[in-house]
Parts: sequence; structure tokens; C-alpha cells
Amino acid sequence: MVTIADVGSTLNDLSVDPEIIGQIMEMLDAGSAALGETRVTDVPQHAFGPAPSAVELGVNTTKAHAKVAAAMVEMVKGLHGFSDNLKKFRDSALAADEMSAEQLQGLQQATSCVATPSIASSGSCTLAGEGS
Amino acid sequence: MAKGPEETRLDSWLDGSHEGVVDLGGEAWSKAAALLAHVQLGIERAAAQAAVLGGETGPAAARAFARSAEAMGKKSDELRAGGHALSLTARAVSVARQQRREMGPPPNEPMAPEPPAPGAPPTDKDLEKQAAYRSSVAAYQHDQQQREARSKAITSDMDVQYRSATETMKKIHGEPDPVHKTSTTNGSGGGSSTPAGSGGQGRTATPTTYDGSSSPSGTGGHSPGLVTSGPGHAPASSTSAPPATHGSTTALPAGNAQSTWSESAPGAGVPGALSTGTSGTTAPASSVGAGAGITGGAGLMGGLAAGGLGGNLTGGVRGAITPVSSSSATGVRPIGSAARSGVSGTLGRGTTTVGTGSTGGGSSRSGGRSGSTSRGTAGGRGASTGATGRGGDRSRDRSKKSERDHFDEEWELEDEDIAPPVLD
Repeated sequence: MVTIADVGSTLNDLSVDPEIIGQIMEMLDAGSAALGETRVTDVPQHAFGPAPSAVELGVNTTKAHAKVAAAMVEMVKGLHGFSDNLKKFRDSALAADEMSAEQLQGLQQATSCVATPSIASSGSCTLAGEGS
Repeated sequence: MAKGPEETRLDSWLDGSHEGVVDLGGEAWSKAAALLAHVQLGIERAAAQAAVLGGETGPAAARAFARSAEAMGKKSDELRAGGHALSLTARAVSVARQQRREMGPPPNEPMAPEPPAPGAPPTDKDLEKQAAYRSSVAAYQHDQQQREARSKAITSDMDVQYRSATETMKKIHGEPDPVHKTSTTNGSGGGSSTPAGSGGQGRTATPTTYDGSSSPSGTGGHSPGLVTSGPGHAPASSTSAPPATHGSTTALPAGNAQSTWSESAPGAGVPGALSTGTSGTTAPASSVGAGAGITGGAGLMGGLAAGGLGGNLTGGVRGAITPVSSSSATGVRPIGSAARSGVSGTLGRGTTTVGTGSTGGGSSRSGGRSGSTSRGTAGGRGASTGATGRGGDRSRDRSKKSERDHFDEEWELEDEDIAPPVLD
């Protein structure tokens, strides 16, 4: 039978501070919420005018905007992934740290959503669904 | 009031621009960049906190957070650059608009004095008026030249900013430039027919001078002056240089410049125009595209055609020099052109060399083809046009015996029968 004292002891042994994890999750959730609410306004192509170079700018701005929007979605998804996996880590800490392989994989997947080096290289997110 | 091609282009660019919208977009991008930077800080703190967690998950999370924070910072920088580029673009347009405003409206063209009565020698008063007119034309030309130069500088500044911002956007989206198809060298179907430009109203300021002769001469009566534009819409490829239409009603006679009573056309046209009128040529029905209008005079375009440069030139801007049918070229004669001596300039076919240049490909089959033979090359054949003004070489013209020539000849004969010289 697992007692409360056992839980506390195990968490201490693993240095799993639920408060710290809670703070981290809070940051991640706040970040993902803020990013999720952000709308990077697209600039209509015609707004640049009819000059050939302006038309080209419009086309490329639209392309860039599409990438930015996709990158934002991915980052939100990744931050959710971080938070979810930390939560799982905290919840499963009682069992044993070897159980954290699942969380490690989850973290890796979440990282693929957030840690792409540039907006252009976004699109490698492997998380199945947002916040799941 | 007449605008030169550069001023027309500037107005077109400005009229179609909405810098306010662009600026709002830039602000949104900048705000998103700031938010990303804020989230980045949060993740960096999370990384530091995760590092103290035990097991494998803690350090792994710390590493993942650190990587993510760094990447987020880079994306924030990219977004900021994009927002900055948009803001600078909006500002460039705004500045251009202000500069255009400061230029004021185009000056009015000087009014040509009334011609003397046919057959009557010019009086001293006539000569005096003509001298005053010449003086005002010179001032007008100078003003127009300055306006054109200013307009060109403004559009150039805008263009530089557009290109700079484009590079920034390209870096953000990371996609390679699309490969544009180049035309084949036989000139068929190579033309790009993107529509768009907003050419201005076809007008030309064609001051003429009076030389004291009472003999009307159609030749050179109209010099290609400041051709502000041709038909309303030019291809978006920005360049449209229809063939010179000899004697065409689209020869763009200026409102007050229809003094065919002068013997010698000033030739210099009007400032801003790229063409210099010479006897025997009429103003080309050039249309100025919104983008990069080439308003060519007969001489210029003739040179292009002769050198096969038409195709190259348009290829550079992905446009086609669009041929404009000149089938109606001989439809109407200007006053005074009924005289034989005037036919060469206004009705003579000494003009058009239509090549079926392929845009982009750089090849241009110019020369030898009559305007009529270029018909049916739909699909955007680039046509290099040139006018050489072989006024009066009727025997040579006849020798061609092309269908078009035949047509023209018939028309001329009929016209002469019906409409005797007015000012003889």
C-alpha cells in the first residue's frame, strides 16, 4: 500500500517538485494561449500596388504569412505538448522514472514543433493533435 | 494637362497602393514578434527550472526547452524583420505620395496660335505669336522634363523598397523563386499576356511650329511628342509598345497641337517622351503600361525592332510588346494630309516593322513582316515595332504588294478622290 509519505519520499528522491512543474506548465500554457490568440494579419496582395516589384512583394508576403501562420500553430501545439508531458511526468513520478520514456518521446515530439530553427523550416511537427 | 510616362506610372503605382493596410500588417507582424520574444523568455525560465528536476525527464525537458527558446527567438527575429519590412514599405509609399503631392498637377500645354489663312503669308503678328508659343513650349518642355525625372526618382525609390522587402519575405518563407517559362526562339506563343497595367489616357502634346510657309504639309505636321500613354490598359508586363501607326487616328494628336500649318515639326516632341519626332513619322500609339511603360517614339521602337531588341527588352520584364493592330491606320487623315506631300508622313506606310519577337527568349524576328502578317499570332507574340518613316517612297511600298499595302493603296486612292486637299 502506497502512503502519502511514500509519495513525498519518492518525489523528493526524483527531485520532482510538483510546484516547479506547475509553474513550468503555467508558463507553457500561458505561452501557447497567447500564441494561439495571436493573429498575424495578412496583407492583401493588392495593397502593395500595381508595380511589378510590388506585385512580387505581395506574392512573397502572402507566402511568408502562410508560413508564419503555420509556424505559430505548430509552436502552440508544441507548447501544449511540453505541458502535457510534464503533467504526465509528474503524475507518473510515483511509479518510477523508467516510466518516463513515454514522456521523453513526447517531449521530443513537442520539441519538433517548437524548436525548428526558422519559420521557413517549420512543418516538421510530429504531434498528433493540439494539446493532446 | 499632359502627364509623361513616368508621371503616369507614378500615379498608377500610388493609386493602387494602400500603405495604411500594409502598415497595419507590419504592426501585426511586429506584435507577434514581440509576443514570441515574451514566450521565449518564459520557456527559458522553464528550461532553468526543469533542469533541477530529477530523473531523465527533467534534464530532457530542460534541453528541449532551451532548444525551443532559442528557436523561438530566431522566429521572433524573422517576424520582426518582416514587420519592419512592411512598415518601411508603407512608409516609402507614404513618402512617395507626399512627394507626388508636392509636384502638383501637370502644367497645361501651351496653346498653339491660330494658323494664318490658307495661302496667305504669315504676318508679323503671326510670327510674333509663334515665337511666343515656341517660348512657352520650351518652358513647358523643361517643366515636363523635370517632372518626369522627379517621377522616375520617386518610383525608383519605391521599387528599391519593394525589392528589399521582397527579399526579406523570401527569407521568411524559404521557398525558391518560381521558374518562369521562357519562350521558344521561333517567336511563337512566347508572349506573356498578363493584363493589368493601367495606362493613362492616350495623349500627346505635339507643339508645332510655324515656319512661315502657307503650304500645308502633312509631313511632319505631327511630331511624336509627349506620348503619355496609349490605350487604356496595357499589359501588366508593363511594357506595351504597339506598332507605330502611320497616319492613324491613334497618332495621338494633341488637343491644341493640331496646327498642321507648320512646315517643320519641332521634332523634339515634348519632354519626357522618349521619342523624337522626325518628319515622316507620326506619334506611335504607344501604350504605357502601369509597370514600366516604354513609350517609344517611332525612332526608338524602330531601333528596337531593327536590332531585334524588342523581344529582349520585354523579356526582361516578363512582358510582351503587344502589337496593336494598325489596320485602321489609314482610316482618317489629319487635316492637310490629303496633299501628296503630306501623305508620306501621315499615310505613308513607311513605318512599321513588326517582328514576332518572343518575349524572354530574346529573339525577335523583326523586319519584313507587315502588320497584317502578324495577325493571328494570338497567344502573345511579342511584336517589336518600329517606325522608320520612309515617307514618300511609294514605289517601294507598292512593290511589296502585300495584302495590307493593297488595302492601303485602295484607301488612299479613294480618299484622294473624295477628300481633296483642304489647305492647298
